[in-house]
Amino acid sequence: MNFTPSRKNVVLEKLQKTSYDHDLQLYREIPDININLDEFEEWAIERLKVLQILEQLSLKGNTSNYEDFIKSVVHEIKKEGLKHMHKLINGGIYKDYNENCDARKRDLCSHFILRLIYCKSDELRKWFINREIELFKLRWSLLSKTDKLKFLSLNNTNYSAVSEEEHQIMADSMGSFATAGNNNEYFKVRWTQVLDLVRNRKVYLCDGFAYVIQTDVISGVCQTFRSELSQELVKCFQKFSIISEDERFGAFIKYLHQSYMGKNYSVTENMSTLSVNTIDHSSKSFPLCMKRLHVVLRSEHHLKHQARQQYGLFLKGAGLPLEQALVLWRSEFTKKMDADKFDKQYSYNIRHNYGKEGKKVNYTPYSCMKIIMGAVGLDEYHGCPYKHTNSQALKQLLEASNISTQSIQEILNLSQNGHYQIACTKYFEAHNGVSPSCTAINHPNQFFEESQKLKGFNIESNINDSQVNDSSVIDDIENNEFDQTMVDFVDKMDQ
Amino acid sequence: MSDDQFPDYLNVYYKKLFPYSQFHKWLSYGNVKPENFLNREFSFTLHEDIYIRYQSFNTLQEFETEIQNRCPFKIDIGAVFNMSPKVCRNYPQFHALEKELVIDIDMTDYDQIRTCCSGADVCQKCWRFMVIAVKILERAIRDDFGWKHLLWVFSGRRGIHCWICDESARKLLPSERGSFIDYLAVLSAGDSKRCNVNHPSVKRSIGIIKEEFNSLLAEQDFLGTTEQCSKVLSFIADEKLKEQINLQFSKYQSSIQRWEALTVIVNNNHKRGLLNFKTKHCVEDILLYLAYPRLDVNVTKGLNHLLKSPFCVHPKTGKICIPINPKVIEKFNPNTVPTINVLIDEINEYDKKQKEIINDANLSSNRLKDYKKTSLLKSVNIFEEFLRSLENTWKGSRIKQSDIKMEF
Repeated sequence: MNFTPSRKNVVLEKLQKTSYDHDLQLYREIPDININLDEFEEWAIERLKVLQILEQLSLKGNTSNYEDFIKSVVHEIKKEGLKHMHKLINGGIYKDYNENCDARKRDLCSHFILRLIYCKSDELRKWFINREIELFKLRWSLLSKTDKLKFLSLNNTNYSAVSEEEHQIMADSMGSFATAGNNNEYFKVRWTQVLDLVRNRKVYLCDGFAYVIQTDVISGVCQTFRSELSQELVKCFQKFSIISEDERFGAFIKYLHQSYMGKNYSVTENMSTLSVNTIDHSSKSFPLCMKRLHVVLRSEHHLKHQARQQYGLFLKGAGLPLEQALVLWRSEFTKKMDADKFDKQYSYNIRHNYGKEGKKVNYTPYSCMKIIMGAVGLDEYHGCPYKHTNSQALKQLLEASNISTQSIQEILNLSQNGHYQIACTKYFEAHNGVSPSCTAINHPNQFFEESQKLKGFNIESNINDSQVNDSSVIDDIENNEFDQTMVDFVDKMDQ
Repeated sequence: MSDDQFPDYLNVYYKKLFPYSQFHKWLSYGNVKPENFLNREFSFTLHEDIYIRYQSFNTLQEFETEIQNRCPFKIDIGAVFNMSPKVCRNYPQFHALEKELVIDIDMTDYDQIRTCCSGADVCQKCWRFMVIAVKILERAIRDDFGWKHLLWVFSGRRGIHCWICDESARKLLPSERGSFIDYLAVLSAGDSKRCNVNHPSVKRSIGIIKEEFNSLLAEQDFLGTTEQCSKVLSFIADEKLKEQINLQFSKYQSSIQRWEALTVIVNNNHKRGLLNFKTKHCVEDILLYLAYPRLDVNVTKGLNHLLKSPFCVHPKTGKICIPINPKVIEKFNPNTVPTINVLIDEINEYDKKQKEIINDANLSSNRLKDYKKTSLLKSVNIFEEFLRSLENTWKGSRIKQSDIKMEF
């Protein structure tokens, strides 16, 4: 997009012929047009709403029947009054060419504005790419056959239609890839364009051509779209610092994602400040991933680096101040090593996470997405238990959490089917007796805050509870022991 | 032939028998692009395993002289590079551009299933595995991928190489080569993994296996021992079904009878709808396991992978790596492949006979190329036939090229 106010309608006319000739596109060309600032913001927010609807509905987990999923998304988009996207998705509704162009222009521009907003970190990029792919797939599936072919030819994907003649000769061979539904259209392409399908023998080959069923065509196109978008976002990020200095929309593109992707919990606004004394009690309200880390820390007196990062930042987000954090880690770690070693090797890192060392960045706690995408090795306890633990171990974890066998089975099923966040949401429900206020859990700190809210948690009144320590699996530690360490530590700092 | 005779024989072979001009014609690909030959890497294995890479030659004469001087025990063919390998191999920009798409099948990969020989040995019985392999790959490469110029070469001891020489095959990227060979390597992911036997290409392969399977079964005696039986039965996931078949196995002795019993039981169960998705295709799974070609996928994947050249002499067996006509692959006998000493004897014999017939050492006998006096003639003919069909492709592109240059 051109951010300098000069070009005129001449450019626009040319664009109408190239960029707006299809409802669906791969966003390969940056639009070179003038829009006003209100439109800039409005269009971006509109698209963001669409992407959010997609995310929430797919998190709800009713993606098993894709047609129902589409219906519910379209319904929701209509309900939210996002009429331009609604009409674009339904395709061909506009009789008026100009009005059609207008919707396509909004689609194009809003996509590029969101690129600016979601290019800033790996996590944002991942989120944006996944949502855009979902949207793209959904829109593709609603296109007519002619529109699909037109799309394929406009975007140089080299797919061509399978003639009636060919179809008859090859019906049997292609038929082995048909799915139960009746929407079995085929497209023809050089085999080198669909390497994954060839590699896995998921496509019929003849004379160097692959005869690809339409559902697979889209997976190939999505592959292209994903890799192009991912590269473009990285490029966009390289220019971000310059673009974001523009005072007209700098603030907008810097912060929009926060208001719409949920909080990042980098600054704690927790009503209950966590402390070493209350942590054992509070850990009952932790999500499973953090609860487990807490148990391991208490029992093993050590956590590996990734686990320290995941848990440490979570505690920070949950309101554990730096001094308290140092006390906690120190008291556990020094049971296995001498204090000197801890100070040398570990305390720097904790201070670093709180933005007191090195770059002095206030690091944000890990979101579910980040935890789920992370790699977990053998003998490591970080990660998402619904994803990274085998079902036997997960079952044990859940059984230790005092929830009904029925819920445990449901959670296990969800986790086996890859619905990690829904499994976590289910756990929340089983644990607290009510659903979280949002559709699904997507941040461990959100889990914690919501369960605290439900309990009407008040630190002062509950300190005693934590000392009573009923069925908790965690060994409680005498408070005075903490105090003593704290005193020692403060002494040391003073020296 | 003793080991110390080998270099002398080799010397004669390279002087008199190696088909240089045909070889040069092949790798020049009509000289549409001169780089095809100029920037082609050859590597030599010399006496005592001295290995030299990145050799390249400007002319046929240079190629011929160098080989005759060096007398390599083995010649490998590498890729065509963006610049001359000999001169520019250390340049940072030096990289491989294209190479024939190659497939390597080695009899040792069949050691798990073949019962007649093992290791380096190969006999007429286990050669049937190669017959099946060539038939399956010929069909798949020609029909599925549409390539036409396939050169099949005996690897000198116990395997076969296939050189796919169509232009579009030579230009494939490593990732594309990988997909190609993974598509063909139905068995590569370990024996236990079942593949989709409903894929049209796999179905056709199974059809080819079925044609040969009874002979193979008789020769290999796949169901001869209880151990072998249980290995085969491990492909049947249903315990009851396994039990039924085992019962029948104990009634019969020969592999043929046992196999028949197995297929009858499975078919009966199938007709009565007793088979689930796991056991439905167990016969096909077993057929693939016992007879589908076992491919060395890494040879195919690498653009820069070297492969032994046709017409090399295998230093251990003395056999020539001769081209094979895939249409009559069942007639090929790896044990009657001409060896270097037989060939040289044949030349001497021929010359002697000629001298006896025409006492005054007639010119015509001298003019005759030496390979034509020997049993290598048949192999060179196969090679030339391959070249003739290849020639048609570059005739086309030469015309196109001259059209572009407007040279008439």
